[in-house]
Amino acid sequence: MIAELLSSAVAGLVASLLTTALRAVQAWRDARRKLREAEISEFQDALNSDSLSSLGGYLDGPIGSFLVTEYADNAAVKARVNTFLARLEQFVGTTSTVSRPVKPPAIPDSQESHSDPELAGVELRIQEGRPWDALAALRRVIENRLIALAQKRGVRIPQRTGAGRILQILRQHGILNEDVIPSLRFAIDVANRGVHGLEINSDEVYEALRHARGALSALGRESSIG
Amino acid sequence: MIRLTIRDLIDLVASGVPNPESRLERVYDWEHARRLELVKWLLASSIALFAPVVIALAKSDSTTDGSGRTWWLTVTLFLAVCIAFAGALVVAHTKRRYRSYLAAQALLGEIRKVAPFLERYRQKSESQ
Repeated sequence: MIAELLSSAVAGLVASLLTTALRAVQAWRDARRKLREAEISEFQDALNSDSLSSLGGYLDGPIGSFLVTEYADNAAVKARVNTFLARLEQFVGTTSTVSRPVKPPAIPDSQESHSDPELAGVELRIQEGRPWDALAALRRVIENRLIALAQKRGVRIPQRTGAGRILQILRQHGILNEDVIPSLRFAIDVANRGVHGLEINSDEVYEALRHARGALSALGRESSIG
Repeated sequence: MIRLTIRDLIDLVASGVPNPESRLERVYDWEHARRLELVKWLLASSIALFAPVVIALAKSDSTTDGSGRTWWLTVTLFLAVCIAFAGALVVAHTKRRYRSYLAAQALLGEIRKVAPFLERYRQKSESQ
C-alpha cells in the first residue's frame, strides 16, 4: 500500500510538471508567432505610409498583442517592442521636443510657387479631411527634397535624421539660400506638431503648404542652376 | 492572473485618464491580493486532502487493508500533490509579477511620450 501511495504522489508531481511544461511551451510558441507577425520591415512600411490609420492599426495589432509578461520575460520581445517604440517616438516626436506654435514668416517676393505633383497629393489629403496624413506627407516631401539636395552637394546625412535637423545641417554647410529657411522651418514645425497629434487648424495646414510650395520651388530652381 | 497586453496600456494612455501609473499600480495590487488568497486556498485544500491520508496510514493494518480504500487514498494523495504543486507555482510566479509590474510601468512611461498621437488615432477610430 505504501508503494502505491508513493507512486501516486510521484504521478501527481509528474502530471503537474507536465502541465506546467506544456503551458510554458504554449507561451513560447505564442511569443514566437507574435514576433513573426511584428516584423520591423512592416512597421517601417507603416511609418512610411503617412497614414494615421495604418500606423495606429499596426500599434493596435502586432505590437499591441504582446503581453506585458512576454515583454518582461522574453528578451527578443523586449528588444522588438523597444525598437518599435523608439522608431515611433522618433517619427511622431515627444512632447518635450515638439516646438510651440510660431507665427508664419513673410514669404519673400522672390519665391514663386509652381505646381508640384507631390504637394498636390498633400493638398488632396487635406481636402479629404485627413490633416494628419497630409502633414506627415508634407514633412516627408520636404525631407526627401532636402536629402536629395544634400546628396547632390556631397553632404552626408545620418540615417533616420528628421527634416528639422537636415535643414540645420544644410544651413551649416551654407547650401541653402537664407530666404527659404524660415518658410521651410515653419512648414516643418507645423508638420511636426500635427504628426505629434497636437491640434492644427486647416488654415495653419494650408499656410504650411503654401510656405513649403514656395520654398521648394525656390530650392528646385537653385538646385537646377547649381 | 491578469493578461495585460501592450494594447491595454495604449488604451489607458489614449483615454487621457489622469495619472495612469497609479491606476496600473491599483490593478497589480488587486491582483497580488487575489493571488495570496488563491495560494492560501490551494495550500489549505492540499493539507485537507493530505491529512486523512496520513491518518489512514497511521491506523492502517496491512491484513485488513481493502483494495477499495487503497484506491481512494491513492487518488486523494494524487490530488493533494497536484494542488500543492499549483500553490507552489503561484508563489513562484508572484516573484515574476514584480518584474512584470516594473516592465508595465516602464512601458507606460514610454507610451505616454506619444500620448497626443494615440489620442488622435483613437478619436479618428471612434469617429469612423
